[in-house]
Parts: sequence; structure tokens; C-alpha cells
Amino acid sequence: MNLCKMLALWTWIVQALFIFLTIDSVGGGLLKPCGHIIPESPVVAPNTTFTAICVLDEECLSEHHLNANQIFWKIKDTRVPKEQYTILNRTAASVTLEDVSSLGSPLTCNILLYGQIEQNIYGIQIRVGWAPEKPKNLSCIVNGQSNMKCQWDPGKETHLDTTYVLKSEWPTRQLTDCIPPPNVNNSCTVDMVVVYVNMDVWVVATNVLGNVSSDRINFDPIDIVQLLPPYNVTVSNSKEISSILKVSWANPVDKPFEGLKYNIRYRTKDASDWTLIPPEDTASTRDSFTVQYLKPFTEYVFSIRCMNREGRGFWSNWSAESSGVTYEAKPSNAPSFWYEIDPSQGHGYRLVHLKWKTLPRSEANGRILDYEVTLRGGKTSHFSRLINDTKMTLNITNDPYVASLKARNIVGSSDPSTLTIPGHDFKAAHPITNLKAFPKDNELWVQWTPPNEPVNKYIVEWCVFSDNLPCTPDWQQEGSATKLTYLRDLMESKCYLITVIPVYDDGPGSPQSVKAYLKQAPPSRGPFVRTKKVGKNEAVLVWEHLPIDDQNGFIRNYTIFYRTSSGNETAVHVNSSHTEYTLSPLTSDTLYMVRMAAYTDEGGKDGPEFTFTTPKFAQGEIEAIVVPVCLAFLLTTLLGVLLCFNKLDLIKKHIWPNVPDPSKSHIAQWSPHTPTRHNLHPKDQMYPEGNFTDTDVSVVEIEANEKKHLPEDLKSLDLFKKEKITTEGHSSGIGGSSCMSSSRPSISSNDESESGQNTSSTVQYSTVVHSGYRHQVPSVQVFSRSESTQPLLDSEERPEDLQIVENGGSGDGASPRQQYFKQNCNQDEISPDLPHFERSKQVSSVNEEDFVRLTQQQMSDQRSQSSGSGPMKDFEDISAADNFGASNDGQIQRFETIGLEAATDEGMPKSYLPQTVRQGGYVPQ
Amino acid sequence: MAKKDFLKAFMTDQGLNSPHLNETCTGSSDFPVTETLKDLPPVTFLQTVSQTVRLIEQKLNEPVFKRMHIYLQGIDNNVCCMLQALLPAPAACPAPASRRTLSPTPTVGSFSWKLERCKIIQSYQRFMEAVGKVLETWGASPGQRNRKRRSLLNVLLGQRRKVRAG
Repeated sequence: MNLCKMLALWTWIVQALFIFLTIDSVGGGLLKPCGHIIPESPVVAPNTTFTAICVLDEECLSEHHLNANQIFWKIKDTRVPKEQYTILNRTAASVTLEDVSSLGSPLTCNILLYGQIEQNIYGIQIRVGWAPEKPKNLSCIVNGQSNMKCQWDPGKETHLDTTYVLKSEWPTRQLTDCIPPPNVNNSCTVDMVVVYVNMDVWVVATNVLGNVSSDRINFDPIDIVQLLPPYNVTVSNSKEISSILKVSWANPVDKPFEGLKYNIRYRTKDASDWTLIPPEDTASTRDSFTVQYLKPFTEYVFSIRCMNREGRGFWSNWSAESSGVTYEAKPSNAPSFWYEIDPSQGHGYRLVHLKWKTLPRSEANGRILDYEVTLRGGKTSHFSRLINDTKMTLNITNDPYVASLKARNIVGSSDPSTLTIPGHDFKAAHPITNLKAFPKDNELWVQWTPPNEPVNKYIVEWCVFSDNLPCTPDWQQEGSATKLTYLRDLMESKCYLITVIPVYDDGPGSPQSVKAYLKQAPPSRGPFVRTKKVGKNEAVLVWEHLPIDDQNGFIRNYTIFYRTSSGNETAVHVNSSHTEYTLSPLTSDTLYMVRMAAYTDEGGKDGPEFTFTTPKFAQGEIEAIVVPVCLAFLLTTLLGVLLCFNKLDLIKKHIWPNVPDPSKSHIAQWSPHTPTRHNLHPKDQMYPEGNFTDTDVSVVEIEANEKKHLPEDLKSLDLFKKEKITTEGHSSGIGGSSCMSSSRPSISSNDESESGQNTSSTVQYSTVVHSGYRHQVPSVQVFSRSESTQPLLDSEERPEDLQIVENGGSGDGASPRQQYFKQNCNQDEISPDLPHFERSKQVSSVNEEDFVRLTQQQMSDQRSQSSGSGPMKDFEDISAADNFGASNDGQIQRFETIGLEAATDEGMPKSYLPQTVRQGGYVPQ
Repeated sequence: MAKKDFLKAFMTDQGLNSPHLNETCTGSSDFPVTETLKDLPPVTFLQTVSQTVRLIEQKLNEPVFKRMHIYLQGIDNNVCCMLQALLPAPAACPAPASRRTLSPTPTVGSFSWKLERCKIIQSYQRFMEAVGKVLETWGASPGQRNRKRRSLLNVLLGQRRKVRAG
């Protein structure tokens, strides 16, 4: 194909080039090229040097002013190096190619016109091939009498057109050549040959690169004759003799000799191996042969071949096969015979199930028509029946019986097979020993050691041993001399329970059993492993044995594979008898993946993967930590409690100060000349510069959320307000105020302050508290109502004042804060004045707790006051307050600092008796 | 068992399978008979055989006798080989005799042609039978163990058997 394509391409190229560089033929108008290549159609052998010459036409040379120097060669599109050129003369140049086979073709001669224009002059197609090899292994065979076929080995492919001719000659005459048909180069058939004339035969192979002859062979064609095989082969049997078959055939017609000899072979139909009849029995010409010693009722296949009786030439091919069946004979063996007893029948009877096997074809020797069963013994001395089936059930007494069985065909009966059915009270004994079962050569073999007692035969029973299926035994009978047998029609990967029963004259012996596999396989699945107990450094794995149906073999061992999520897998081999294994050491607080594989002799199967996590602490480790800690805590608590009991008074003094009983309070004498508590000067009067001095006012601020924390206090606050309202117009005593004072001292003060702002009245019983609660330093100095027994001023009792306090303290009712002004607090100045508001914020750092503590402190002070020691103390404090008042032109910061220092210095809460106000403060009365 | 011989084959092919025609084919023969041949020296005997075979070959030159022709050539070849064992090489195998002018032959396929060819074939087979008889009288000698000579005998005997069978 490639060659054809290249030729077509070359033709096109040549045609195209002719258009460009040709010379007009003046006369006929034909075009001819400017040159040509010698040789025109070269055939070159590989690895040989090839030289081509390009000869330019004279006319072309003169017309285009060319010469051979301008020639260059190309192979396909590749220019051949100039070193390979040779300028022969003005018109011719040659090129020498070392190995054309590797270069390909076409080879073209080109010229460079005007020094730059490539023009093709001519091209040739180079054919590469080999000369023919000498034919080898020439041999001939004469087919019958008609023709002779000779074959030879032509050698390697030449890639060229190569002819092979079979030549032959007699010593005196050249015979006609034999030409092989097209596309055949290794054989030829000569139509007519003459036997008994020696001839020489040889093969001549020829192509353009040469010719070669094979070695000659000389022979007489009669010596190489292969006849056609005998035909019309038939087989017939004999009714008289069931062991013979007669084979008949027709001899080949076309043969150059008379004497023939034969090979006759035969086999049974199902067999693959042939049996050859001894050649000396078939060494003469014949057309039939009787084969003896064949099996009865068996189909045999025959085939025949022939050759020259003298042994010259070749055997013919085997004839077509022909078959025949020998005639029947009586069964050669008694059937296998066994029984089962069903003892469930009462009244001295029992069911016996007789069963037997059909005879194999080789023993039946024909078609079994029926079986004759005979029973002797018991009440019925003789019982006989013909049956077509292979089993029979009889209801017999508990007496011993003897059963016999015969198989019958058209020719006769087999020998009887006898079986003793023992009596009801028979005890089996004398078992076989050393029972073994093993697979070998795709069979399951059973081997045993016979008992010492003489045995009539053995019964081998087997069934599939399964968890799901009942044991349905199959059986076979073995002769008394048998020690080794194999079981038939077994399945692979099934566990078989095999039982061997020796049969004695008086009945069966004790059975012996063994389990075996014909061929094991890996288990169908792996064990399901799980953890029984997981510890910090170990885990107890448990599993169950695989069901027998999943084992597919004897489980030899288990392998446990376990790994962490990132670690390598570890394998542990476990004996197959185990169902539990402890993995250790393991890492605590780690996820483990474990799976288990069960292995038979043929491989293993993995079970599903199970994951578990080891705990961080071992069992009891937590308890070991927690219990001591708890004990320690408990002990500490007990010690604390004991300490509390021991120091109860001290603790009580610090934590739960005594609350004065209001019912024991009494109203002191009030001076009618009580000075005005506040100098409610106008703002500009009090703070000429517009500043709110520290000494003028004390602010208690309550966060809105304090309501939540101390709702009772706020509730009390409300109640207090209501009480204020209800007591409007009355001159309430200090007792009423004291009832509220525990939680609302500041409010009272504020009320007073507000009322002071509004009414310019004075409060004579207010108390200034400097100290914090329980040694806590209050952030601001606050004023609180004294627990004095002096009656309240009218202005303090005015509800409108309280209302004003609420409005003024919070600005509006929605404000979360309450502001309480003790002294010189002008309503007009408080709310809108931002500095005041900021001031109140600073004061707000006194939280609710302080507030409550303050109240308690006041109550405690009240008790102190009642004890008689308080007044002196109070006076000291008041002096300090006076100092404050004296320096009321100082800064607020200073005021606070002093207040704090005062409280810190004194180190204990203070209360004050009613006092008169001096310059915005209170003056003791 | 079928036995192939040239006369029977020719008779069958030409539709001459009738008993009386067989008798018609049987006639006098121009070829030497056994009595003549057995008294000839071996070389002369062989040369006679060769010349007779070549003559028969000339007479049966129609294409229908192509197969018989090649057999005749084989016999002539074997005779030549035997002669080479007895004579110097140049004289062993005489050049084929110049074609003698045969009597005018009837038209191919005509009945007379069939009868004439029938007679020639039968004469040939008689002659070969006579040759076989003579060769059988030759005692065994080292020369007879020569493969070519044995081949000749076999050829001749084979042809004779075929003639007998026919």
C-alpha cells in the first residue's frame, strides 16, 4: 500500500515538475523533462551502496544556462549532502547513497535556477528488498495416486516480487514445473506423479535481486504415499457374546498398491484415552475386524487408518469415528444395601427402612428392570417382593431379620446382597479406629483401621454439618477389605460429618465420626469483635466463634488488628479456641480501631471494625483524687464551723451587728429653738461663683438596678414615702422615722434636704456618717438620718417635699438614679445643672450594699448611743464635721478625701446625735 | 476393490464397456511377445522395451492419454537407467526414435479411433505383461538390488497387475 501511494505521489510530482522544467517538443507538442536519472527503477538490497546519475538534457542546459554543478539531490524532502555528489561532466552528476533502506524514496534530481529557484528535474522510486533465501525443509507427500504435494520453508520475506517454482525431473527427463498458486510461496501440488520412478525435486526462488535453488531431494513417489482413510466405518454387536463388537469399513480406492495394513483404536464413549488394537492383528488387507474383551452394555467409539502394507509411505488420517454398544449381560455386582430403624412403633414392632443404591452402568451390564427384596426371620419366615424403587419400608417385629437384595436386568439377576437386621435389644460394638478424613486430588478420602473382628462390609455415611440444616446423610458401601475410600459428589467449603459403620454377621458395629472439608475456603465473614471492658491501658476484647456455615473450613487462628487513628496497625495472633483477649498496653484517652480476622487453611476474612476509646483515668483513679479532696474540704469546713462557734461573738459583731429595737426607743426632748437646718439661700447666694461646694451638699446615689438587688429596700422606700404622705401635717416623732431608718436613712435625709430646699426649713436631727461599712471606706461622705429619738420636723414630714426629692433627685421619674441632697440643695440648681449631676454620679459609687451597711451601721450606732458612750463620740465627729463646714469653700475633691480619711482614721462607724446646722451642716444641740 | 488400469479406464471413458467390444479390442499385436523377449540378452531386452514403449507413446499422443503418457515415460526412464548400469552412458539411453510415419489415424473420437486406440492399449498391456514375466526370471544379483532396477520391476509389475485386473 505504501509503495502504491508513493508511486502515485511520485507520478504527481513528476507530472507537476514536467510543467515547470520541460522542453517543448517542436513537432508534436510533447513535453519532455530536462534530464533523467540512471537507473530508472532501481531495486536495491539493504546495506548496499547505491549510485544514481542525473543526466541533464543538452537543450535544457543551453536554454537555461545550466550545468551539472547546479544539480542537487533530495530524498523525499531532505537534501542529500554535497559530499555524496560527484560531477561526472558538464551534464551529469551522480550521488552515492550508503544505505538506501534507511532513507526511503523517492530520490529526485533537482537544479537551482538562477541560483535560488529550486526546480525538480527527475525522480526515481527506489525499491528495497532482499534476494530470496534458499528454500529449506523441502518435503513431498503423494495423496493417494493422484497428486503429490511438496512443501518448503521459503525463508525470510524478500519484500519484492519473488516467484517459487517446484522443479522435478527423472534421470532422463525434465518434468513439468509446478507453479504455486498466487500468494503461496511455500507449497505446490503436482497433478500427476508416477510411482516406482525415482525423481529429483527442488525449489527455485527468483526475484529481481537473484535466484536460488533449494537442495534436491530424490525419492520414489511410492515411498511417500499417504492414502485417504478408510470410509463407511460401522460397528455392530452380538447378542450371543456381550463382550465383542465388529467393526467394518471400506478401503480407499485411489491407491498405487494393493497391500494395506491398519490401525484400529477404540474407547468408551465417555473416555478420552484410546485403546489401540495390536498392529500385528491388523497388518493385512481387510475390511472388518472383531474386537473382543469389551464391557457389556457399553458404548464404544472406533476409528481406523491405513497405509502401505510394506510400511512405505505414511499413515492415512484417522477415519471418521463410529460407535456401537455391546450387548447386555447380567449385573456383575450386588447393589449396595443398607437400612435404618425407626423404633417409634410400639407393641413389639418397628419400622425398618431398607435402601439401596442403583448399580453403576459398569456393574449393571444393562438396564435394571427391578429389584428383588427378600426378608427372612421373625414371624414371617420368608417374604419376597419385586420393586422398581431403591427403598422400601417394612413394619417388622423386634426379632432379628436377614434381608437380601438382587438387581435384575433382561439377561439375569445379580448376586444377592445380604444384610442382618439385629433384634431390638442388640447392642452395637466393635467400632473401627483411627478414623481420618482428608482431601486429596479433589476428593475427600476416608481412612480407618479395621476392627479385629471379621467385617462383612462398611457403610460410610456423611452429611453436611450445618447450624441451619439438619443432617441428611448420604451413604455408600465399601467392601470388607476396604480401609481407604473417597466420597463422591461433595461440595467445597462445606463441613461434612462422616460416619463409618462396620457391618458384621450379627448386625452393625458402633459408628465412628469425623468432620472434614473437601476443600476449605476463607471464612465468609470475620468475627464481630467488641470490648468487654476498657481500661486506661488495656481493653478486653470478646467475640463469638463463627457459625459453622460461615467458617468454610477449620478456623485455625484469629488475628486481631488494632490501631489508633494515626498510628500503625498492630496485629496479634490468637488461638482459635479463644473468645477473649486483652489488648495491652494501650494509650489512655485514645481512640482505637480494632478488627478481627479468622483464618482457615485457605485464608482469612476480616470482620467489621470496632472502635473504642480508652479512658483518661483508670478505674478508681478519679475516686482516689476526689475523695481526698472532698474529705479535705469537709474537714476544712468543719474546722471553719468550729472556729465560727468559738469566735461567734466576734463574728456576730462584725457580720450581724445588733439592730436596735425601735420599740425600746423613746423621744428625746427637742429644743424649741432648733435652728434652721439649712441655710436655704438662693443659689447665687450660696454659690456666688455658681459652684456647688463640697461642704454644702452630700449626695447619695442609688443605682436603678439596685432595686433588683434589694427590692425590699425599695419597697420599704415606697412604704416610707407613703408613710410620709400619710403622716403629712403631723409632727411625726423620731420613732416613726427610726422604723424606716434601717433601710432609708439617706432618703430621709434627702427628703429633708428637698424639703429644706423648698421650704427653707431646718432639720435638727440629721446625722453625718463618715465611715464605711465593716471597715469599708465609703467613696463619698453621706448624710444619714440619725437614730435620734427627737421628733421630726414638720418640713421633713411633708409629703410634697418627698415628691420634690423624687423629682429633683432623678430629674424625671424615668431616671435610674436617685439623688439626695442633704444641704443647701436647691431644686432649681440640681436637675439642670450638669456639674451637679456629675457630682451625683460620683456619689453614686456608694452602692446599695454600702447603703444597707450604712443603715446597719447607723442602727448599731444607735445602740451605742443608747448605751451612753455614743454621745461623746458623736460630738467628736461633729467637731470634725464642723471643720468641714469651716472649710466649705474648698473643692469637692478635698471634701471627699477628708471624709474618707476621717472614716478611715476612726476605724469604726459613727452616729450622731441631733445637732444644729452650722453653715450648711448640722450643729449638735 | 477397484483397480485402475488404462484399458478399463479408456473403455469406460469411451463407452466401450461391452463384452463383445472387449473381444473386438483383442487382436493381433505388433509388439514382441514373451517368447520373443525372454531369449533376448538383457541389453537388447531393455532396448526393445524402451523402443516399444516409445512407439506406444507415439501412437497414443492424444490428450486423453496424458496420464498414460507419463507412465510410459516413467517406464522408459527406468529402462534407461538400467541400461546405464549395463552400458556406457552415451549409448545407454538411445535418443528417441524419429517419429515414424504412422498410418493415417481416424478422426479423434470416432468409433474407429476408439477401436484402434483400444487395440493399442491392450497390446501395450500384453507387452508389459510379457516384460514382467521376463524380468521375474532374472535372478537376484547385487545389481538387482539397485533401487532403479527395483523401481523398474515394480513399475512393470504394477502395470502388469493392472492389466490383469482389467
